[in-house]
Amino acid sequence: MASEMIQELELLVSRLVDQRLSPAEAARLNALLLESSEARARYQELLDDHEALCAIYPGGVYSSSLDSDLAEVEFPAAHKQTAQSPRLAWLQWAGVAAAIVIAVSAFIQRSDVAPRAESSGVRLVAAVDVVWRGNSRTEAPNASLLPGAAPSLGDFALAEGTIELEFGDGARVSIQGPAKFELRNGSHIHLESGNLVARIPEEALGFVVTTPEAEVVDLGTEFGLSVREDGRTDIHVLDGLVEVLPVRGDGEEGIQISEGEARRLDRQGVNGIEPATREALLEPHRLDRYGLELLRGAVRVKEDLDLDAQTSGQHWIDIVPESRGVLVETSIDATIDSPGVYRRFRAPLGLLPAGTRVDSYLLHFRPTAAEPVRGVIKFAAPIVAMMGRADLLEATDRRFGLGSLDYPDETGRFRGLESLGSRTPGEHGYPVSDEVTLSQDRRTISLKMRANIAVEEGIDQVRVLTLSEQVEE
Amino acid sequence: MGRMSKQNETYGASEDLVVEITAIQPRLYGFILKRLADHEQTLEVLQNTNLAICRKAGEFQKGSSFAAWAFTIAKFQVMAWRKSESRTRLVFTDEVHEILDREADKEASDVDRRIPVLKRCLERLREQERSLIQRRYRDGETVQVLAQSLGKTVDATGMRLLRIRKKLGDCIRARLSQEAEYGV
Repeated sequence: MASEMIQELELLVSRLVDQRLSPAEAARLNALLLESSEARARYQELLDDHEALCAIYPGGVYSSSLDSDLAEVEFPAAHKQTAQSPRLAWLQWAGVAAAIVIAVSAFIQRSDVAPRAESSGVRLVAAVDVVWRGNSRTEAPNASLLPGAAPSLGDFALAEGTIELEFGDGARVSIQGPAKFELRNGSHIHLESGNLVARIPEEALGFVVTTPEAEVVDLGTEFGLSVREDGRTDIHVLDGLVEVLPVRGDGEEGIQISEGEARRLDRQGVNGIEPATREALLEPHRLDRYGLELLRGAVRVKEDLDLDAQTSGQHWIDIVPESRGVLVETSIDATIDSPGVYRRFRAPLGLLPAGTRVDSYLLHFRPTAAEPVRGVIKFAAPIVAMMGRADLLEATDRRFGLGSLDYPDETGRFRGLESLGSRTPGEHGYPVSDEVTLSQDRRTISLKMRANIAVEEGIDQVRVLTLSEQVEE
Repeated sequence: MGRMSKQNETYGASEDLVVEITAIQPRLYGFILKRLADHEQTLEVLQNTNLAICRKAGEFQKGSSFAAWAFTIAKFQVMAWRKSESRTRLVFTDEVHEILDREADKEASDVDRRIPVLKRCLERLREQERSLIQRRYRDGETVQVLAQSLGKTVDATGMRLLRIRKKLGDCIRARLSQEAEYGV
């Protein structure tokens, strides 16, 4: 009866897809497939099942789910196009995309939010220098939100930094800490204290911002709020027209405030005040200032390079902005200079040509957790080269780095990106590498950084050079 | 910046290329794994394939099947790999590789048919089983990691995965033959 052989084959295939096939088993698999067409048919079937599973759960088995995430973030137009394209009909794009969304949100949830709270339909699109303050009600879920995450409904306390939230209907709200706010539902944010700037497109019908003193109801506009701890609310209309319903007072009549005007609402009632600019309400959008457009996942901007600090709990890929507008005088070898998915970084595959003027960023990751840490970074300018090997990093530290930063100089300590097969299997049994995807737009990289090496053995770093529009100061 | 603008021209025309490459990653992985039967080598060849696809993007005929084109490139990359790699590392002998490659002529459409069926089958798994599959596939956790967190041995965990895969495989086979019978 052939079933015994099939059983053996199934066992071998299961070990194969779980990366546990020994050389002896590999030889046995080869022999079975050679001698039996039935075995081959079942082999094809089992591997097709495996492939289908990989397609349903695009994720960790074969590569980073952030590759897919990239497509989601960067090319919404192309995305729609492919959905209608007959040549991709077989892909069942919608299904795949849904799976991607699930995969991505799942990884975000796993990495920061243990209990599953009610979803708000709101997304945290940017977080710069953010420190969340724990709050009795929501300490666990919202203590360490990452860009890209969907915060749950409830209270938030932002100790410092600036965040930007995107609501399902297109409204965008930037909040600068210190601030306390509550997401009441997918189109209602309550600002208890702090500064906020809201841009509300006309489509965002029914979007509501409230404060202890007022309810701001008008739409198709941009306005700023500044709410003091005692509830005093300043409303500055930056664009369009706003209608405000004071909580106190008669309440029937709304107050209309037009562009360039401002009002203060407090216990004394409503008074005209000097209008503030957007910049005064909110520090200029920090991300822009750094030449960055979007961060997603466990990525943050950090202005210093702390080689030895112990991070606790959360693991971040730090983006350290370095020199800007540096002219490359002689061509330099680069690890990567073209779009693609990379897992090997030993041979320099690229070149940073002389005559290029670049802005430099050092991406820094201290591998301490067993779980891979992932992030997506979109730069404002195209990436011309990436340096992911110790000697290339060292060779460029002086030219592109900042004198104020403390670059590692110990020889023998690993520095760079970890290549596939570069070392003996990691503690979990198989060799893994860092993974870098440079997307076709050349502005977006997705990273999947893994901790193969012990902290004291080295650090993962890669220097990213983007085309500069600045002239060196 | 002659270098940059030249590259931008080549890629610029196909911004949705990245979408297609991204979408087809799991399929290419499966395609290559079937022929190499080794995860690490497969990742290596997958990377080479992605680079080749980027390099040859200009040759792709818009309107034709991107998948078919990508699989063809992968096929050549597997062959190139087999040539360059030492025999001792390869799982399959040339003979077996050839037969497998020849017999796998319908695999793309076979997998296409499997995906919706498999989704149904996944729904029918017990929650624990589905969660294990998700952790293995979606999250890429190794059997070792799974075993640790379940407090089981690696072998026991491997066997559990084998049983779940078998269950899924049986379900897929049953549903596919049903479809064939009723011409759904």
